[in-house]
Amino acid sequence: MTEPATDAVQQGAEGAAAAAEHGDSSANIGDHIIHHVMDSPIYDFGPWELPVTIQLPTVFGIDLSITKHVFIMWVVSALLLFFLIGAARKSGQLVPRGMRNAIEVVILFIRDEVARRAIGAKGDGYLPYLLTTFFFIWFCNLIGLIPGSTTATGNVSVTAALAIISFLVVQAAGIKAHGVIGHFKHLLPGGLPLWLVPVMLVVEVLGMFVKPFALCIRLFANMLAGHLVILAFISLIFILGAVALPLSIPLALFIYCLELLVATVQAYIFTMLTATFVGMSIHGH
Amino acid sequence: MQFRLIFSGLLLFGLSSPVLAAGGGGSMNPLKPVMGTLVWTAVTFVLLLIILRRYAWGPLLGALDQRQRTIEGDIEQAKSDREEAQKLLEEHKSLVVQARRERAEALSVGQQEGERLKADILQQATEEREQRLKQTEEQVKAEIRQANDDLRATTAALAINAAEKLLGKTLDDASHRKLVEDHLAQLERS
Repeated sequence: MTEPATDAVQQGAEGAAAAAEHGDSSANIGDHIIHHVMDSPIYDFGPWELPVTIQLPTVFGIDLSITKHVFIMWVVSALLLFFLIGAARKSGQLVPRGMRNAIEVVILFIRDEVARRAIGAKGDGYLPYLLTTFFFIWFCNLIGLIPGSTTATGNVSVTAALAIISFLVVQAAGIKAHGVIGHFKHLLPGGLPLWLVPVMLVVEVLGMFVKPFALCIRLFANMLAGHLVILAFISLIFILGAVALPLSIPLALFIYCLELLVATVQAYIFTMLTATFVGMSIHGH
Repeated sequence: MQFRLIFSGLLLFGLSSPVLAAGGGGSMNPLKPVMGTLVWTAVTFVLLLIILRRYAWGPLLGALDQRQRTIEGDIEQAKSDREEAQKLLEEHKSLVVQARRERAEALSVGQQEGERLKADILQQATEEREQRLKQTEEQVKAEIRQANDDLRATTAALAINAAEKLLGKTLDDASHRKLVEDHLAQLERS
């Protein structure tokens, strides 16, 4: 992060917040921004709004309606199926061509630098999960950067679900490697003084849940933050008028470019950390 | 990233606080998890994982492994081929060296043989010449001696004849011949 950018962000935030306290029109802008990043049952993408909503019944107190973020996730899934299965269709050929080359670069990176490095010899077994996680998050992040689109990974419920799956995979990996008892015995490092056992037990059990929680919040906050910052810069124009144009447009563009990087980096971090946790779970302390 | 998170948190708070304060916050709080979305995400992800595992990751990873094996095999093959070629080359080189040596040997043997033959022939020729020369010399000497003898005999006969004519009488052939011959020998000696 460069200092001027963060300063500007802070000023922008303060400006927006200050303006928000002054009157209704400014509050509307804050409302607008929040509305833009929030999930909704209406499929509004920028100026376009799909004329349908899919309302489903509530089961066990859970509203199963298909929201905008779920919808965009399905779009992402369709894209992934199209590209990845399309690339895999000609996998019998020894020399890869076209899309398969591009995808193989990513697959090889995840296989060699993430799965095999973090997990080791058993890493290949977790590859389908790790690859799906990476591509899913990556495409969700990227598709959210298309103006008018929406970022599913900027929704805490989405990242929570991904983190819960990651948690389950990590626990399953430990149980598979050491058995149920062995896995939970690994929570305590060996050679511990007896009086430390209760303390460490609390710390380790907390750590077990904090890790996926951090995964969830990290991805969610990063994706949301980028969009909020871009929107804040754009909103400056509505608050301060044309004076803000020379500042807010380049800065918004800068953050946008940064977001392209962040979209990839966050997908990588989520995958890498999950792989690391799996590795720790398998190899013990 | 740390700064970014802090500022985005501030921003989030700054932006959402008036909204939350306005009272309609319940549905507009981005930090509040929604169970429906969570369930759908999990379902979507798991389905995607199952389908991709079957139709995308399996074939793609298999192809990668297969290519790796193929390339490794090819490299091994190339290595062994090269080693074999190297060995053949060595073999050929040693063959060439051997052939050269043999040729040189044959050449030198031939040369020596030729030299020897030349010397032999030369010597033989020389000897023959010497022998011929000697023979001829001896022959010539014998001829000369013969001629001398003939000359002497003729001379003696002539002298006796002449003396007979001069003296008018025939000398006793034998005694006078001896006399003349002695004389002639005396002449020869002087």
